Amino acid sequence: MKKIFLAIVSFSSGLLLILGLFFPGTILDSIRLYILDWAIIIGAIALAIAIINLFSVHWNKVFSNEKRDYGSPFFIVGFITFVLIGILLGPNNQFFVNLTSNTIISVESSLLAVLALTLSLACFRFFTRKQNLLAIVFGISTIIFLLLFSGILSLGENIPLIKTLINALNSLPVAGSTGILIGISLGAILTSLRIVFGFDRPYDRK
Amino acid sequence: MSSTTLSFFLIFIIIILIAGSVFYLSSIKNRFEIRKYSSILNLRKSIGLSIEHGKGLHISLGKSDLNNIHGAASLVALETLNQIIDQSILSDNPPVTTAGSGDLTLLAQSKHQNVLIDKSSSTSDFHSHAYLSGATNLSYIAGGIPPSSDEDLSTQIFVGNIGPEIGLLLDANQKKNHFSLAATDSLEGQSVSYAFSDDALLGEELFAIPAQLSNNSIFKVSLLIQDLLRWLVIVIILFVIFFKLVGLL
Repeated sequence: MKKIFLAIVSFSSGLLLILGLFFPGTILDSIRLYILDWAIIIGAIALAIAIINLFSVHWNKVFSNEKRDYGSPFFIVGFITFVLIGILLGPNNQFFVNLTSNTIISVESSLLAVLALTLSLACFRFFTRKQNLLAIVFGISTIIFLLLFSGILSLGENIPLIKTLINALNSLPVAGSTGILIGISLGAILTSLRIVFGFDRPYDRK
Repeated sequence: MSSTTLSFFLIFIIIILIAGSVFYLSSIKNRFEIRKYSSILNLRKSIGLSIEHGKGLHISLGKSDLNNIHGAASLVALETLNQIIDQSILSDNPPVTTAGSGDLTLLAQSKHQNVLIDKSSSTSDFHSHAYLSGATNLSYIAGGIPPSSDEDLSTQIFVGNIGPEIGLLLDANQKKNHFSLAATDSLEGQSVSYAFSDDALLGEELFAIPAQLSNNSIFKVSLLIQDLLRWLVIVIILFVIFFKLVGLL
């Protein structure tokens, strides 16, 4: 009974969302916006619950004897400090805003720097790990497009043949990514329809 | 979106529904054999070895909420988690799941809770088996690195919406010599995954994972329609090129 109820709720809300999209300016559109607002509120509550759960996971890691994570105490101290400052000064306080944004920006910049270095190293390691036709095509195209985007070939833009060749090469990544995105869109549409019609039920435990 | 585009989209959905019903209700679905991806075969093998050796699995579900444009990839990630949990039910070391969004985390926890109920073990443990690793793109990755570097791990699966920052997770994974499979709907994420991981699924292959891992006919039918639509798009593109060359367009 519960399963049928859940499937009916899922189907009707999915159908209302689709119909609201097809009939803008009607009552269906207003219902669609209401449902989307509810989804955003539920998403925010879910995030709050997940953050509390993350805190409990790290708390357990600090006090457990097996698989102790030495990063967890830092997380707990940082979390409590930011929550307390946020509660005491308010979320719009300039000091709090600066503190949070500066912390996030500095940590994320460091991670991006590590990522840039890691990606450069991966380029060197790539050919030792993968030695097939696709890997060769991948490697050659990487070199070609690095040269192309560096502007080194723009010197020959006055020659008609080279200009045509550069234009053709420049359109290749767009064509490739469009092809991949079309495939992803088709998959996304079918996945969504499977859920709307209740064939696939992520909300169902069984 | 203009009303003409919406009408075309409506017609498109109706075509999908009709084709889906025809495939699902007829016996045609049994005549088609889905080509098995070598990546998925490797994953199955790796999961089997993990269970045999008592090693763990780490599943990363991506960072996208269900209510945005990348939600479909997150839904596929949840279905993949479902299938993998079912396959690893005999393992002593339950899979660890990390996610970058609140709703995905709660849904992943309910899957873990279900397995623990089936195994008649303590249901309070599921909170530590599936958790939010971070709420922003990079914090999600930063939080995912410790479980990725775990010594007791042998297989890692990254499915969902993960950008180029997936490189950091895959690098941590590579240093420990774990098997990794990456499938993301982000273009940059796919190129980084291809360079870093043992196996990477590109483009629409992400949406084929449930059909590859399960015997459920609905996933098989869905994949058949996906292929059919892909061919339809190819034919339309070829026709447009032809008409352009002839000068009719």
